[in-house]
Amino acid sequence: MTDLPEMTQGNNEPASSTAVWTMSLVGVLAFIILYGVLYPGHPFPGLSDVLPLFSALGNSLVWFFIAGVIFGLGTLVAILIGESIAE
Amino acid sequence: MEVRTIFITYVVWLLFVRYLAGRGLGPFGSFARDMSSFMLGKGLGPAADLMEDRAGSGAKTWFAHGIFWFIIAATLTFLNIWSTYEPSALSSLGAIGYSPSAAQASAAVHVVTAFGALSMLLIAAGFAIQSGLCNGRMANEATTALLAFVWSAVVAAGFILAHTDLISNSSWFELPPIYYILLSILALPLFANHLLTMAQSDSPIMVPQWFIVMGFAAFIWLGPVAMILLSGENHTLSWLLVKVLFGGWLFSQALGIAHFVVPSTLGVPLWSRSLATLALFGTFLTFSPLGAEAVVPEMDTSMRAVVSVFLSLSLLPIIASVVNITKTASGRVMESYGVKFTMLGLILLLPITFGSLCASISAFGGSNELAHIAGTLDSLAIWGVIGMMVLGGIHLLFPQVSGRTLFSTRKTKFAFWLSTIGIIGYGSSQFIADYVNHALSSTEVSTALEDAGVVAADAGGVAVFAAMMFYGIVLSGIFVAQNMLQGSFRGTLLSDSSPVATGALATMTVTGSTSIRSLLAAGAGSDTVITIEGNSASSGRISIAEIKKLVNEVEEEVEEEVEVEVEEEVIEEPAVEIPANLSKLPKSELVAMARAIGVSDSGTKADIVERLESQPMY
Repeated sequence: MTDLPEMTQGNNEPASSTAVWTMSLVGVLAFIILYGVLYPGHPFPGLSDVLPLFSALGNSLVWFFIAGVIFGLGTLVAILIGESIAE
Repeated sequence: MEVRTIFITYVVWLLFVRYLAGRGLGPFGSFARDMSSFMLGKGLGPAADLMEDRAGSGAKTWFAHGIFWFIIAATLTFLNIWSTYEPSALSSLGAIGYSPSAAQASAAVHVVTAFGALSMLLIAAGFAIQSGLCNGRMANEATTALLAFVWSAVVAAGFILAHTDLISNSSWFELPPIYYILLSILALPLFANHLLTMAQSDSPIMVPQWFIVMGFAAFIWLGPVAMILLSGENHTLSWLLVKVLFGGWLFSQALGIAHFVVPSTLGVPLWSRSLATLALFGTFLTFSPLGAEAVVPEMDTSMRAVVSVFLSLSLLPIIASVVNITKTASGRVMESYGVKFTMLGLILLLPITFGSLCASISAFGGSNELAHIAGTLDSLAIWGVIGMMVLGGIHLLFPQVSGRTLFSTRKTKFAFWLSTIGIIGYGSSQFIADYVNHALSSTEVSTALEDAGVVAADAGGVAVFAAMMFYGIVLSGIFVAQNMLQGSFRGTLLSDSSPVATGALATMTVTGSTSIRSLLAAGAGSDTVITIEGNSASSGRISIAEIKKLVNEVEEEVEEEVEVEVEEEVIEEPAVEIPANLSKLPKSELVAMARAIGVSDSGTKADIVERLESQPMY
């Protein structure tokens, strides 16, 4: 008969990026729930509410998504410049 | 000219191209080849030297442009979906003069998606497939790469055109005919490049190559036929153009990719030759149900019946393709993300085709009962079917042309799941929104609600959820672009002859005598492999038997090298074994042993024993 150890414990850990993504998603979800509880019936704050610098853009949430695309394109440019300089 | 006659010209033109390509430019012979080679090369003058004429450089440039437009097109589509929920979301951009109407925004989305993102990526994949199946490169790479910039400029011009008064309330594809002619003219040298590459190759023409070449023929046909629209509005002709654009061009190219990616990735032949042939001919000789938004308001019954039959017959090649490729990948789908992307597109193809078929039949002179879901069906056909197959092609074909693997498997995995969840989430929620809005807009429902004093909530919340789901496609495009870009710099080299980022040529062929200075001036580097030609009677083409002989020789050389390495390893093993009880040995033996293993032999016997005992082999 095989003797099992008292506790089975592996040594693998999730990648940091996975942890960051998961925590970000949970954080966003928690914020949405909390906002709905604290300010029922109120629309979510737009980019201009969070950052007054962008007040001219209006209160639409779509600007958060557009900011994400701009950030993504920015990373592409950064990679291109960085790799070109590294070469 | 009647639409029936125009369709016959389409079929005749395709059969002509089939005949031409099947006989290596056939009756045109060497003259056509020489002329095409000249026009694609030296005919451009100094412009031909702007780009590198290296194997894969053409496809790589098209991939780079295509993935850029993919991100832009996906973002515009996302914004378009969001605008149905919140029309004033981007009203602040009016301050800088950007306030398109719904028709203009839709036209811009479709132009950038169809001609920018999908067309460019499909063209890139076509070049990669063609060079892979022929001589390892296209007949001309430099001009091909150069044309990617021109095509991008035309797409950008189309994006601007879509925001002008030319598109007021008309459909997105009713761009000025000159636009289609311009694209056709640009496609001509690409088409000639394909024909020339096939003519220069001894390999038999495979099904994916036929899809690519015939698709180009269909696309080129669009330009001259669009000229007829100049004589006035013609709904039937516009409908036919959309069907050829979707079925003859976009979908056929995507099928070409699918028929190549799955067998070549898994290393198995296509399951059925007859199904592949049926798919090939059926795709071009029937009306595609994709492109369900195209409407013909009035049509006589007999014509409706004929078109309905042609639309229904298109199910045959689609089902044949799905069955053939699914059987080819049977049980091995999980081995590659390129295959997974392709299979996702094929799985989505069947339900979208059935939906589009019903919508298309009712839109051709019927009552158009399914108009409210036609836009969603087209979006799903574009992004869910063709888009996924394109992404599958990128994951297999871009490493082939860049010579390096994609940078990160995790990013690939992430892009796949974002796309999958994004497209399924978008499709399901958008259908709900479409049906709810359609029901609420009907007179009976609105009257009943009014009588009951009930104000019904619209489907705005579902629409915004659909937009958020579609954002997954945008993110997927960004991750794929990052993966491609980083992979082309830091990915693992696929072979020693793969393109290098230093700018030096990987190989160079020299005829006759030359100097080192000339070689350097021509772009050679310290790692460039120089091949001398001109004194060998066997220069030029090589037979399969010779290739086999060469492969056998290379295998024998590799085996010999392995044997030599094994022998060297044996020699490198320590020749001296250190016995267990060193102190019992005489000092002379200890000195000899110390010298043999390379440690100091000075000092007393105890010192030498101590040094020997400290050795790792002891």
